[in-house]
Amino acid sequence: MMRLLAVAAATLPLAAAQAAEQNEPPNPFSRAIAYAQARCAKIYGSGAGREAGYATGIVVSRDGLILTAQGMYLSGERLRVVLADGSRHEARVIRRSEKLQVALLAIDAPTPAWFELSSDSPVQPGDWVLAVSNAFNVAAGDEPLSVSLGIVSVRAEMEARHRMQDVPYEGDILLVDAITSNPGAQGGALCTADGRLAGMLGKLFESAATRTRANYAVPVEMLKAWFAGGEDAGATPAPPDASGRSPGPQKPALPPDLGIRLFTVSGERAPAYVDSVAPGSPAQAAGVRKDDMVLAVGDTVVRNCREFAEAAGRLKPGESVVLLIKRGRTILSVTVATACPPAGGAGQAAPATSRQEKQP
Amino acid sequence: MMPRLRETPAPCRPAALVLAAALVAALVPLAAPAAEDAPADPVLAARAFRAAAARVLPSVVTIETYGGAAAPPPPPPQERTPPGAPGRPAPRRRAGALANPGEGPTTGLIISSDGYIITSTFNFLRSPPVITVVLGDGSRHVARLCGRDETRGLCLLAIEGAAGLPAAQHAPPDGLRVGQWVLSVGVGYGGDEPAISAGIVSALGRLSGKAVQTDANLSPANYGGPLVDLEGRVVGVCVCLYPRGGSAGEGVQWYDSGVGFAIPLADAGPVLERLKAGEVIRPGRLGVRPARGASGPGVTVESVLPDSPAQKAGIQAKDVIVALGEQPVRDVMVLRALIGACAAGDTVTLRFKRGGEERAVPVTLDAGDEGLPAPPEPPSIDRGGPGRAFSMRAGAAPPHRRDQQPAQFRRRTP
Amino acid sequence: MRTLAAILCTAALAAPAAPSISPEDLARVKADEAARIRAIERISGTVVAIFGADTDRGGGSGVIFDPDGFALTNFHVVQASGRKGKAGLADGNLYDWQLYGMDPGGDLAVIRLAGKQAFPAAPLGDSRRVRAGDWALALGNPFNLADDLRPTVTLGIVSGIERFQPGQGSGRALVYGNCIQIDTSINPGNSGGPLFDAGGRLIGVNGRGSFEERGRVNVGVGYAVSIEQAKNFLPDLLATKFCQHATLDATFRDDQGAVICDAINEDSAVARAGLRLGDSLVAFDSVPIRAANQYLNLVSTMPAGWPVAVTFRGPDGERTAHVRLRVLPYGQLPRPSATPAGKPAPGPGEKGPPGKKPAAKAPAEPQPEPGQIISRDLNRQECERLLRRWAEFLGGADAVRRAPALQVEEEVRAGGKAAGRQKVLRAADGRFRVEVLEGYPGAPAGAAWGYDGKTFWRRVPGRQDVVLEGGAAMTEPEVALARALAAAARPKPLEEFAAVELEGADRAGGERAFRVRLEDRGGAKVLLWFSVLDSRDRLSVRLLKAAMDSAQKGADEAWLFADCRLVAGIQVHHCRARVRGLAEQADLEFAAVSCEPVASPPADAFRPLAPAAPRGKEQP
Repeated sequence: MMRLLAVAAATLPLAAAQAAEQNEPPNPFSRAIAYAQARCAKIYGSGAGREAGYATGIVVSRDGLILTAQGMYLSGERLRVVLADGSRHEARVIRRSEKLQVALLAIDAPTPAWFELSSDSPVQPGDWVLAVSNAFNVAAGDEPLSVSLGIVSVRAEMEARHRMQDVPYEGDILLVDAITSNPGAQGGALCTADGRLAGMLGKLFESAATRTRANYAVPVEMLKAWFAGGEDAGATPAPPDASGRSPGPQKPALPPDLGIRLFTVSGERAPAYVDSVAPGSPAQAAGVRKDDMVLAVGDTVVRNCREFAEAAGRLKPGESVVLLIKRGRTILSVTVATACPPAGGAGQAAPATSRQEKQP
Repeated sequence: MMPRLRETPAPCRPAALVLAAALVAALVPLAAPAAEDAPADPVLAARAFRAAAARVLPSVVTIETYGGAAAPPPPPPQERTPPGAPGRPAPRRRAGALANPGEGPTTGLIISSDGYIITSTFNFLRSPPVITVVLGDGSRHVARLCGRDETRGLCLLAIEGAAGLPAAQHAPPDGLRVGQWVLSVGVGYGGDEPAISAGIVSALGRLSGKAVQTDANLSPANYGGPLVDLEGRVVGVCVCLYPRGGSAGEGVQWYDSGVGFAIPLADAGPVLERLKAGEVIRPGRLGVRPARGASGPGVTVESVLPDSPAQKAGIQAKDVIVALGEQPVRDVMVLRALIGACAAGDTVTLRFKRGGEERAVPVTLDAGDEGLPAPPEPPSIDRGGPGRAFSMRAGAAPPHRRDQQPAQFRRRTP
Repeated sequence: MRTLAAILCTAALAAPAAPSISPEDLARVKADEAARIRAIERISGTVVAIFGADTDRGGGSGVIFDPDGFALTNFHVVQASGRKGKAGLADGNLYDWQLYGMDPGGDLAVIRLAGKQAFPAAPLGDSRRVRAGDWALALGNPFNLADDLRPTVTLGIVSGIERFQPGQGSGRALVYGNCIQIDTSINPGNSGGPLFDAGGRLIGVNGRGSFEERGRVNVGVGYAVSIEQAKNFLPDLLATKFCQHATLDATFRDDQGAVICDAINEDSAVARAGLRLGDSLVAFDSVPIRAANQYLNLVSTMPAGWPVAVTFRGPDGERTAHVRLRVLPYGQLPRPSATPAGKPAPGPGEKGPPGKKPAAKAPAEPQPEPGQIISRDLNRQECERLLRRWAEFLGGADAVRRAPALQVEEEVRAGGKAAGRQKVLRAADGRFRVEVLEGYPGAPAGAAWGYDGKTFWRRVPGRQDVVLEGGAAMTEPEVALARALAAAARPKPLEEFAAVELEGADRAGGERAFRVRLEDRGGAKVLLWFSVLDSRDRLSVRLLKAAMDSAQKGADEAWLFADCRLVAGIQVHHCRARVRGLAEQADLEFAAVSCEPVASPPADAFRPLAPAAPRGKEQP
C-alpha cells in the first residue's frame, strides 16, 4: 500500500503494453489473420497512368518465390518486396501468365513463412474468407497488412472488362462479397477462417455481366497448377491437324451461313426476329421459320440483331449449333448442323440433317 | 467439383428429411450443448448461409430481356482469338458486345404458384419487348410484363400456363430485427449458380417506410432477387433505389456500398393486385417548394408549382403545412417522408395554417417531375489513404535554429 | 420402429445432399445473432443524428457518452454548423445541441444535447484491446437516410490497428493517428458516429475512408479515431477548448533498428533535459519504441501540455526525462464559421427570397484561437458539474457538509522507508490539527500545527511558534488546500470561490485528469486534478491531486491522493503523498492506519494544546 502511489504514477502507460496479455478472448479469425499476414508481402513497382505502383504478393516457397498479379507496375526499373518483418528486398519477375494474369517474383532471401498451394479448393459458396492485402498502401514497413471479411459468393467463369477492354483471363474465379477491388489489393491472399489459402486477389476488373467491380480471387488450385509447371505467357502452340501439318497462319475460314435473315428494319438493337429463311439452308432444314425470334446461339444469349450477327460470326464451318428459339409464346431449341468445308478451301454451307426438340 | 446449389431435391423431399432427422434425433443422444458464452464457430454460420440460400433457390429465376430501347452502340469488340490458334471457348453469355447495366441477366422471385414473378425495375428501364424466364428446373418460358411500381423499384412478370410453381416463403414482418443476418441471392452474373452475399439488417422502415436496409452487397448481380433470413425466408426483394431522387436506376451508383434496400412483400398484397392489373405506380408529387431556414414546426411554402396538385388544391405561398393525414409535419424531412409513402393518384388531407387560421384540404398527388428537394448531402468523409508512395515532407529544423518547429511527418518505405 | 427410422434415414442420406444445417447448429448461430441484436438495441439509443440549424442542413452522426447529454462527434461534422444545431435520437425526437470543445487536429468535437434529464449513454471500451479480425459495428446516418432518426447499423471487422492517415492542407488538421481501420461500411453521414465492439462498447469515432474512382461510396476501407485518443482529449473538449495537439519538438527517423533523433529544437523541454541529435529514442510514455512511425502514432493522440516520460539513450547512457509536450501549431486551418451550412443567409445588403424580410443577422461571434477556451460560461458550468459529480462520489454534498470530523493516525514513509507517525484531526470545513508522534524529515517528534478556521499556527519544539491570522493564514499552502477541498465539495461550489476555471487535460498519479483552478476569496490559487474514468472505463470524478498554483504547473510540490474508503458514509482518502515535479517523485507518503469519526470536536481541538509562548520569547 505504501508503494501504491509510486506504482500508480507509472501504471497507466505500462498498462498500454500489457493490454495484449489481458485475458480477452481472441476473435475467431485472429489466428488465421496472423498466419496469413506473415506469409504475404508488400510489392512496390512503378505506377503507370492510373494504375497504382504498389500491390501485394503471396509467399509460396521457403526460398523467396512470391506470387502476385500481373500488371504494368512490374515492368519498371525497380521492383521491391517488403516482407512481413519489414525487410526490404530487390525482386525480379521470373514468370508471367497472361491467362491467369499472375506473375512469379523471386527475391534473394529465405522466406521461412510461406503458403502451401493446395490442389483442391478449400472453400465453397457461403464460407467465410479473409482478404489480406495492402489496399491503398495503408501499411508501410513491418506494419501488418489490412484484412477484410466476406463470404464466397459464387465460383464463376471470369468475364471481365478493364476500362472498356475485354480481359484475356481464362478459367474460373472465386467471387467474394468483401470489397477486394481496390488499388494495391491485387496479389493479396484470400484465406479461409482457419488459415488455408483459397486464392489470390485479382485485379481491378469489372464484371462484363453487371458492369460492376468484380471482387474476385484466382482459385488456389489454378495457381498450384501453374506454379507447379503450367504454361507461361502467350498462346500455346496449336496441335497439328489431322493431315499432320501444323497449322501455320492461314486464312480464317469464313463462318458458315446458317441461312437466317433477320428483320432489321427496327435497327440492330431490336430483338433478332427471323424475317426469312434461305431455302436449302441449314436453318431451314432444322425447322427455323419466319417470325421466330432467336434467343441464344449455343451458349450465348443474343439480345438483338447485332449480337446475333456477332455470335453467328464466330461459328466454325462444320460446327453444329443449338439455337434457342421463341415461337409465339413457346420456346424451343433447334440443332443446326453445317457441313465441313473441303480441305484447304473456304467453307460452303451444305444441307444436313438436324433434329428439332421442343422445350416445355 | 463444387456442390451445385441448384440441385435441390423435389419439393416433397424436405419433409422426409425432417422426419428422418427427428427420428434420428430420438435415437441418438444429442451432443452436450456448448458453453453459453462462447461464440459459435464461424463454420456454422457458413453452413447456415448455404442452407438458407438452398431453401429459397427453387423460387429464384433468371430473367433475360431482349431488344431494349436503342442505346449508344458499344465500342466494337476486340478480336480475342488470334487467327489459326485453336478457338478458345466462347464466353458463357456474352456475344462480344458489352451489355449496358440493366441489360444483362437479372434475378426474379416466384411469388405465386400460378406464375407471377417479382423483380426489380432495373432491367426494365428500357422497356424490352421480349422477356424470358428460366426456372429452377431449367425450363425456359416467355414472360410478359404486368405492372411496375416505381416507388418501390419493383416490376411484376407473369408466365403463361404455369401451375404448381414453388412460391417463395416470406419472413413474418414483425419478426425482423436490426442486426440479424440476411443473405442476398442473385443470378445477375449469368452463371448456373447464384451468387450470395451476407450482411445484416441495417434499419427497418427506410425510404418512407417501404424498405429494409441492409449492408449485404446489393448490385445488378442480385437486383430483383430475394434477401433472405437464416431460415431462407424472404425478408424482401433487392431493388435499386436512390432516395435523392433522380432517374430510376440511378441507385446503381451505390452498388456494393454497404447501403442497399429490399422491399418486403409480406404486406404487399394490395400493391401486387395493382401490378397484376398492369398498373404503373409512380411517386406522388405535391408541388410545393419549401422555404429554407424558416422556423418550425411545420413547412412554410415558398412557392407552389404551376399546374401541380398543391396549386389545384388552393395552397398558396406562405401557407404553413402542419399535418398530412393524421401525421404532424415537423419539418421538410418529415414532409418528404410522408409524401414518399404516397403514390401518384393518392388523395391526402393537407392541414395548413394561413393567417392564423388552420384549414384542411384534400389533395390528389400526381406524377409530375419536380418533387421536394432531396435530402442534404452530408459533409464528406475525407479522402484518405496515400495513393502513391509517400514522399518525405521537408521541414526538419536544422540544429541550432531555435525558432523553427520541426515538422511532424510520416515516413513510408521504401 | 428402429428399422423404419433406419430406412428413412438411409433414404434421406442417399438423396443428393442439399446444403443443410442441423437445428442445433442453426440454434447456435441464431444465439450469436440474438446477442448482437440485443447489443444493438442497447446502444442504438446513444447514437445521434447531427444536423445544422434544421434537419435540412448538415448531416453527420455522434454518440452520447455521458447521461448529462454530452456526445462525441467529428470536428468536420459540426464545423459548418457553427456552435449549435439540432440533433435526432432513436426515440424519434429532435433535441437542441450546442458545441463545447473542438479538436481540428484530431477531428473530434464534443457537443451537448439538451432536453432530457438523463440521456442514454454508451459504455466506453478500450481501443488498445482491439485486434484485427474483431467484429466492429458502426452506427450512424449515412446519406441522411434516417427520416425517422433511427440509426443505420453496419457490421464488419477491424482491418488494422495503429493506422495512420495524414492530415489535410498543411497536414496538421484532421490527422488520424493510431486509428482503427475497419471494413464495416461507412459512408458520408456516418462521420462522427460510433464504432462499437461486439459487446456494445465504444471503441472509436468513425470519420474517414479511402475512396476509389467510384467517388464517395464505401469500398471497404474506413477509419475511426480511437476511443483512447478521445479519452485523452476529453477534459480539453469539455472545457470548451479549441484543442491543440502535441509535439516533443524533436523528430526521429529509423536507422538500422534504432529510432534516432534527427532534428531538435534547442528550446524544447527534451533538449533541456539532455536529448541530443543522434540519441536513440528508447521509450515514449513508457511504451518501448521500435519505429519512428510508431512514436508519431502515439504522440498524435495526445493533447498539448500532457506530461510524458521520454527515455532516450546517448553516449552518456540511458536517461528518462519527464517533460510537458508542447503545442503543435496548426498553420492554415479551416475555421469553424458561425453561419449555418447550406444556402448562405442573405447578407446585410442582399435581398432574401421574394416576399420575405431579410433574416436578422446573428451578432458575429469572435473567432476563438487555438488553445483558447471558447465559452467561459460553459466552462464555468462544467466546473460546477465536475465538482458536483465529485461531491456525489464522496457521498453527496449534504452528507459531506454534515460529516463528522475524523481522527486519523498516519504512518509516514520517507524515501520508501518507515519514517514516523502522526495524529491528524480533520473537520469537514477545512479545520485541522496535526500532532507528530514519531518524527520524520521536516517534522520532529512533538511538533504540531493546525488551523482553527481563522488562525494557522505551528509549534516546533525548540523553535518559535508561527501564528498566521486571516489572509496570511489562508495563503499557507496546507490551509489553502484544506479550505479549497472543503469548499469544492459544498452544494454550490462556485459561490465559494472568486474564480474557477477548468483548465483542461492533464495527468495526475498516472491517470488522465481534469485540471481545475480555483481562486478562493483570500486570493489563494489552488489546482485540483480530478479523474476522468475509473479502472473499468466508466466516467468517474475522483480527486487525484492537489497543489498550489504556480507558474511551473507541476514542477513544485503537490499532493497525490489514493485508497478511498468509506468512513461514516463519506469516501475518505487513506493514502496521500507529497510529490515533486512532473515525475511525481514522492518524498513523503502518509498512510492512515486508523480513521475514526469524532462527533463534535470542541472548538479548541484545533488549537495548540498548551498555551502559546509569548511572542518574541524563546521556547524553553
